[in-house]
Amino acid sequence: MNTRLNDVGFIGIQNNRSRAYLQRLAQSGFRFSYAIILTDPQRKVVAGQQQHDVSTGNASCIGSPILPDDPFVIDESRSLIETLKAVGTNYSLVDSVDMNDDLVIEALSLRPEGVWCFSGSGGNILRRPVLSLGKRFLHMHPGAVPEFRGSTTFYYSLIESGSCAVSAIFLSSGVDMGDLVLIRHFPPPTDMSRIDYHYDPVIRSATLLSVIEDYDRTGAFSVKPQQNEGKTWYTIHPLLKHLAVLELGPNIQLDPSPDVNG
Amino acid sequence: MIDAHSRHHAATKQTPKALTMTVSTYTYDAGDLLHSPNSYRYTQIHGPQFIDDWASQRAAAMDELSGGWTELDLQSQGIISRITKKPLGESNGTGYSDTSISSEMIAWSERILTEAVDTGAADTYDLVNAMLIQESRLEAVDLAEQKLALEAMRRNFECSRILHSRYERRLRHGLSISTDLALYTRTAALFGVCSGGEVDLLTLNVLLKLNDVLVANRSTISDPADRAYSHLALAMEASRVHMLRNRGTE
Repeated sequence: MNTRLNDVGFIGIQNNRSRAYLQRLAQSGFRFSYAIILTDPQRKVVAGQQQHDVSTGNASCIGSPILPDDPFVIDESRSLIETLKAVGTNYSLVDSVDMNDDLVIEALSLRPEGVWCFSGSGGNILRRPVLSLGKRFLHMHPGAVPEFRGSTTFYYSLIESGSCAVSAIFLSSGVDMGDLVLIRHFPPPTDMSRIDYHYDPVIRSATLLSVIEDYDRTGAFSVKPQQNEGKTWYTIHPLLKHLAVLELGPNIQLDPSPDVNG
Repeated sequence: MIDAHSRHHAATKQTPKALTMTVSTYTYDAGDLLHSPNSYRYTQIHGPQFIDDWASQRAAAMDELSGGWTELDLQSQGIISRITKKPLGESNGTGYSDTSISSEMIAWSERILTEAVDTGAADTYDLVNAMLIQESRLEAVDLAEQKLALEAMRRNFECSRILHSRYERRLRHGLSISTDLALYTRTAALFGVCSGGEVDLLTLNVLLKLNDVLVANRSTISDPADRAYSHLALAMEASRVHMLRNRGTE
């Protein structure tokens, strides 16, 4: 039986990042106290999703491990709900993918959990009403703060340092400026065509697991404030993205049939 | 000699293309980007051809925007000449002298910047021109107001990928969306030159996005100064990308 994280819920959209979070924790013997699944009422694909996330719900294939010393593989054939049911986590569906929507705020305010693992759509910045609910939102940010705050920091980090990192932070009103829980560094991806939808969720979920294991051991999240000074990055231009992948990052391979959506 | 050198480099970096007609993979420089900007989110990775396509399309745009600068207004002439540290006419054979930036222009520029930072509001066209004048000063200038205004413009443009005709309330963009290509050309030139001789990724990221807008609208850029600023912005982009690609080897 999995260990229930009594004060920690999950909130997110259906995509590989959310799959990775739920599946990795389940495989490691943990389950969230409760889950809120955010869905677009028109079933539109939102930032961070692929078509199968909103149509049939699942992909047919299971990929290969991403990291050399980590056998974890995202099972894209499983929906979030299947995983939640398998581990016995209750959940609700909300017809919105905007964390600032009144429906989402209402769903959160009805729940007793004080900490929520956040896996929302790309670029969904939390505003004051949701941040004022008295809940804390645990976010796995794909970059080492404070040097790499903001968007697409994977790619900037590859150009600047040739490596990638994930920072576990609690969200605040400043972009990626909330209290820091943990930073983990990872080897760069070997197959760049899988960076957005496979490498990214795998290393984020590995960091989440580290945080949850520590929480399970100590009964609390150990946090420290970030330095204010830092750098905020914005969505990378596709030319720089290509240079990061093909020339400036580590020596990596490009899959001849990339599976990254535009 | 930024333009000639960088364009030559961009050309030599290209791989041989098949003789058959191919569709470009670089599609971010097309469409009505003044009203419907690219989001640049989750962009597809295409492989080396993408870089070649970018280089060839940018080179073609620079060719289209070359020439016609003999009728530049004196202010633009002075700014561009100073920034490029060479007479503009070298490219088209007419020759310009290095027109001075007058003390009145510098004083106006400093006043605009100070007011913008003090009040948190500014007309964007004036603000960009003021910063271009500061960038064109021959002596080294390190204005705190310039840094603050540049950072505000970068943040605002990155968030919306469009320019606004005014900035208000601590230099945040107002409601007035600008479709003025003269503003876009000057802003692109500003972000082309503002990082000095260094490659600053944050600045280059803005420049690439602004230049996508310019290239998408190049057929309607007819004013001599607009064409010259556009050419400068594209040349600086090529120079910066060249420096980035060869970082550590030169």
